[in-house]
Amino acid sequence: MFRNTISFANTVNGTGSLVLTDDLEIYNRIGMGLSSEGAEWIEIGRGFDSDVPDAHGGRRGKNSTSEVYIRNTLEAWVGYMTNGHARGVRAAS
Amino acid sequence: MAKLQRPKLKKVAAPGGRVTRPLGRSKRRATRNPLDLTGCEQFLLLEARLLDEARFDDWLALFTPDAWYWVPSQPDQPDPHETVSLIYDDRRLLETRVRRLANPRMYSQEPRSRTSRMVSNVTIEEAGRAACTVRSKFVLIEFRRDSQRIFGGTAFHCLVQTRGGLRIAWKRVDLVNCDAPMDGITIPF
Repeated sequence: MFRNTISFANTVNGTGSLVLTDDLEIYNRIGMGLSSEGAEWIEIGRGFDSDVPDAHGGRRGKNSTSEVYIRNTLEAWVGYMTNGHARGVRAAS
Repeated sequence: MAKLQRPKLKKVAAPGGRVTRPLGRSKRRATRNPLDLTGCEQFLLLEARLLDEARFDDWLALFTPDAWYWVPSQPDQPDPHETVSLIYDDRRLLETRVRRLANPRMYSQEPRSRTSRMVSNVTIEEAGRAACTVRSKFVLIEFRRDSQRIFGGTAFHCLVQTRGGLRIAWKRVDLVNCDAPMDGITIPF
């Protein structure tokens, strides 16, 4: 079990892994995009049409590339900030 | 002012007045042990060149079917199983790594890195009849997008003699900064 954890860290989370390297690149590009004044809005709609409701009253993405987690986070934040009164926003209980 | 003198090369004429070495296979080359120091050095230089020229499929072909490739995350790390490594690939993972490098949607290689490697200080540490462990030093310069970084360290290759030529049974790369925070590693050492 411990060996599997190490192996998973090496192949997915490590600096030379097959996954994190692309993530780092994308984070870096997002940072550059945010610091630019070229775009006023950030599009977080990926996966919107294919998200499905989950058992906790939220929504989950159909696959790992959905940006549902950003939408859920923002929705929860707006819920906290407005005590659930913001229109169209689900209150986080 | 002293005139800069070039050392005079002593020409040794071979039988028939030849100065240069004959082209093609000589008897000496045919009988030389591929696992001697020169053979190992030539092999390491070939490997470095394949990597610098991004010929990763050809690089992968240098490994045996059960090879492993290890870049520890700790100095003198004794074992790849007890703690994380920068890279610890069995043959299957190594194949995945190389296949990924060929994928145009590998964002961390868009644009591609350009690399330059120097391999030196080659010694044979352990030698058997059909296998030996070779130690070498390397410097790798990697340039990508707007920055250049330098890696350096010690490589250990276990080279085995097969019917297809020399192959790498395992390779361990000890970076001098293996335990430092660093940006993603995409091009193998």
